[in-house]
Amino acid sequence: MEKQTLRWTVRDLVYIGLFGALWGAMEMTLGDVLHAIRLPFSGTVLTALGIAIALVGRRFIPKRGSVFMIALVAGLLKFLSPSGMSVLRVFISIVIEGTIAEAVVNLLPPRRATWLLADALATLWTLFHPVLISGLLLGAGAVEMFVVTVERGARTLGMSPDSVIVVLALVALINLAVGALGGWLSWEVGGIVEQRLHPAEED
Amino acid sequence: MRRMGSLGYTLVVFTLLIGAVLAQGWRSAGILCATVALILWLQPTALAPLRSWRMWFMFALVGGSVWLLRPILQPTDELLSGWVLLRGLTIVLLLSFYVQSVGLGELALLLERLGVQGLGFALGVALNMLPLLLESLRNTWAALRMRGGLRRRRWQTLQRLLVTVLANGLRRADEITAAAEARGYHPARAARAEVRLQRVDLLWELVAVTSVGVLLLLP
Repeated sequence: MEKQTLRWTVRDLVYIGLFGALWGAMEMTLGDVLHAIRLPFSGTVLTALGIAIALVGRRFIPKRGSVFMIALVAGLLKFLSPSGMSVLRVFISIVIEGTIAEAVVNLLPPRRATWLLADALATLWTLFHPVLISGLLLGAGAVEMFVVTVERGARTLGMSPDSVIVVLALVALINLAVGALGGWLSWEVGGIVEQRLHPAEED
Repeated sequence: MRRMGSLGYTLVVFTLLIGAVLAQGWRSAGILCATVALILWLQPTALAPLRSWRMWFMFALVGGSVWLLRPILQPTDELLSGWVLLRGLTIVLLLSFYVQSVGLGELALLLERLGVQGLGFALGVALNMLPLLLESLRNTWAALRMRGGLRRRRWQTLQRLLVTVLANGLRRADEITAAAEARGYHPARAARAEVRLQRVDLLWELVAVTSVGVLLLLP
């Protein structure tokens, strides 16, 4: 067979598989626990942790596209569960979140603030994803209806629509904060693991 | 007709999805009928979502709410007509059909064909390591719980959990890498199945395009 060039080494691909599997394993274990105890924002927490794992992976595979590949592997592992619509919905969500994080770490230098921002912005996507799915399933009319509902609902409750925007902004802020915590965790954990595995390189 | 290849399934599902999104009014019902006919012929088990009470409950809830609250919600005519729910049902069935027809390995090959190099190998490693990581997560969590779990020092506990599982996983990954390289393995040289468009894929795609075209263009 004709030899093809590959941008990834064997080690890179094994590490991508490892971090993708870890993301998948975390969703299977922690995901079940969080949903069972009905923790608010459990989706946000899972996303933040998943992206944190991918960002740790970026420290060990410091090449363009590694975060996206890890997200792609984690998303594909979802196809092991046989329930068509939710599998694809989660797959699309994971891939988009991975793409956002990949874009941030490519644009900015590798430092703690970049990791925080990458995880925060990727986690913020969980707020917009249901709107995307509703739009796909029910058409643009659903999005229009959502906006009208919010405005009318606010007036019915004696609030100005601006108050609803404040509530939505608060939810977005929570998503960003949880994501930033995930980014912080990934930077810390990545540093500790590097030290544990390669202590001689610190001298 | 014979079953399609992964490329065929992707093209046909994509064509019907486009049809479902573009169709309005009674045409949505036509696309749904075409979808059900395709599924019944090729993969009848993909109709399983129709047995999901949760799905029907959601559709009934959405449809009923839109109808009852129409003075407040001011829905578009399309939403009010209810045809749009058929679009939702079509999309759910098409995705169920795709997930059941195209295996994980075939999907990875397809993505590799689209330029995502090395994905098949990485996915194979992930599948191989998944049980190991699950066990590592459970054992590490059990050990941390015996030391207090998340009741005290939650941040440090979470860090320790991730660090332990990651460090073990990375050591295992290095062993896998060494073993693969010692055997002269390299993903670029690995023999892989070809992903080709077969005649049966083209035939099914022709049927799909014709059905969608006729439904959308009929007056």
